[in-house]
Amino acid sequence: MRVFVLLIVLLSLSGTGLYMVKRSIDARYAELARLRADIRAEKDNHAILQAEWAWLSRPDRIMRLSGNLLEMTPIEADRILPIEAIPMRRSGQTGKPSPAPAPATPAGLKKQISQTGELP
Amino acid sequence: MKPPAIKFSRWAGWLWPGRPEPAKSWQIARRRLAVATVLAGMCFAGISAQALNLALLPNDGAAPASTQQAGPPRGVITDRQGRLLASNVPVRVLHADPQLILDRREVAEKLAPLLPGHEPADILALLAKPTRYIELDRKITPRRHAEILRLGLPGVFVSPGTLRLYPHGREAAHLLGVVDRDGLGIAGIEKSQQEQLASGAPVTLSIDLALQAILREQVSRQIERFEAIGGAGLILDMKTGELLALASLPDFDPNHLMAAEEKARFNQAAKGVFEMGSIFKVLNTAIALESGAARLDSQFEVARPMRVSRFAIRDYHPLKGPLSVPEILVHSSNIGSARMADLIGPDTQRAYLDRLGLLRASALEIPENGQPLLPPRWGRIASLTISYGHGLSVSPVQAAAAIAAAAGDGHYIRPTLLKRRPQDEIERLRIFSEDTARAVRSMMRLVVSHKAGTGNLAEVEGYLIGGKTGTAEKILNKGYDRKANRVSFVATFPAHDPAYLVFVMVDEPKGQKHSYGYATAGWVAAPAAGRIIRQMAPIVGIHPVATDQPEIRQNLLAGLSIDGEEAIYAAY
Repeated sequence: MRVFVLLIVLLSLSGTGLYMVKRSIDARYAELARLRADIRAEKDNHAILQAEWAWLSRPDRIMRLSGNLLEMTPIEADRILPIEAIPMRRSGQTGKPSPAPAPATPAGLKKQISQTGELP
Repeated sequence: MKPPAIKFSRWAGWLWPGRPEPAKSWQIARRRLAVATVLAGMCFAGISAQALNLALLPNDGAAPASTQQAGPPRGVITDRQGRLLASNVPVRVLHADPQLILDRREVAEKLAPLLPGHEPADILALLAKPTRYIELDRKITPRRHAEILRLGLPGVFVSPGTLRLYPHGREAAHLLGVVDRDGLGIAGIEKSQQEQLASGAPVTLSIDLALQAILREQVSRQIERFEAIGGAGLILDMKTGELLALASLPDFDPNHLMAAEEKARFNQAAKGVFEMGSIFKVLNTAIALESGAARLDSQFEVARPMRVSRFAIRDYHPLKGPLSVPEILVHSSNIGSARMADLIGPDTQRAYLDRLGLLRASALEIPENGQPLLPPRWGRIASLTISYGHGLSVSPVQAAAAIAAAAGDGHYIRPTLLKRRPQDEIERLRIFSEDTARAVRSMMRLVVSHKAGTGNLAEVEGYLIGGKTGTAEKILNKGYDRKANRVSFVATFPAHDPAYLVFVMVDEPKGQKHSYGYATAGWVAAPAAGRIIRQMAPIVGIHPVATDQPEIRQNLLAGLSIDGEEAIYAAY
């Protein structure tokens, strides 16, 4: 009889334990599903934002905006020159940069640098 | 055998004896109690078993339906810098099941004001179809969604879906292609890379969106300025074979495919094949030099039209002969080119053009690759006309790849639309020697830099550009139409060490006041190529050069003379 009671107590304890584990697993499944839904929603938002960014940064729009608002134009060749062509400031000298021997540069800029010693 | 009735009565007597005997009634009551206990126990056992079953077994219906989806979302397509060219955005799809609809007329009348572009009659016609799924709209805004829900129409549903979106619209529309309703690629990269995209993997193109925009803008500007009917263009990285831009105009917005005309959907740059005209003289010159048929100082008589049986080959402007090989290219002499081809011979010419990929459809990674049109008989006459670009029709992509071999370093590289990875080995097929290539790029530079050259208007100060013009009369009813031309310009830059090839083609330009009535390649296509190069050079990192830079002398031939004077490569 004592064994029988003990067995019933054990059984009900393990049953309760099993049930609680099961419930916690259920809760975690629900949490997982919620997180997955969240991730999906975030991915959707991300996709929308990326598409919107692509739409807003499309070249013809940027070209139009930069032309209308910033008055920007394509860079001309005489705006570009190698770094060595920029005159170095001599040590001890203040304020006024001196012309340095400029290697290959586009003709116009080269002339300007050699005449004034300054970048336009 | 005993009848069953007797058996029944015997069992019945056990619980319900016919004649109750007072002595046995206690015994009967106990029996009844036992049976009732067993029945009740079984009921409880069943309930407990079901309760355990529900509590312990995993229930499949727990996860919300929205977390389950069929397969990964379709891969995105990006340009070489990672800019998004095709992506997916979630949309709400409005659909209806006619079998669940109570009053079709009511549904149609209530929905029509909420669906722009739909009349009640259209919706009614849609709802009359014998199907259980009718898509009414794929792009329902959240506000519309709420309004439709508020109508409370049975049989009308809004469910989540995805929409393939091309954020840049018309830019690169031809090569991206489109997908059908089920998300299956039906054209362009969407079709050719269907497997990879369907598995969710992204595809990175060789295209650079910034260069694509520059190319498209400049070609469409020339189409407008010269009242042309269309055009095409491409930018090729000559060192890797990657196409950095590929445009065909008129074009279409892949987001509104239904509104696109059939003509606009045709990819002229890859699918269209055309007689390329004089730009073929670059190839003719390279083949003549490489095969030994001519040397740079060989002289060819061009004073009178060349007569071959009943044909006469003429020049656009009559030239005073004899001309050397560089002079033939700079003046773009048909007669001179034909005389050179006569020395090359049809078989050698054909073999070279075959190795340059001009006799087979190009193998770009899109389904739209044009099949070249070969002459029915590749005899002497065909070889003479092919020398100046008539009688053989190829696509702009094919022509660009072949000219890149002649003007670059002599290697043919198969053009591609997919970005090469650093570990990819580039297959280079040597066709022309280094000497031939140097001579060809020197002559192409002279076409632009020399005052008599046809490509003067492509000149951009600071950048050495080489090029060749091509003005081809369009074929009209088995003959040539002298008024309708297809003009093109192929440019390489920097001319002394070509890295990029720019091709511009304009279809049927008309002479304008600002061009003094001219509508030739030199007036229409060359300036566009020059502007494209001026804009793209800072982007691709090609710096302006000074004329006294030593590598220019090393990479271009010294001492070429045009019309008796020594030719100079840079005049600024």
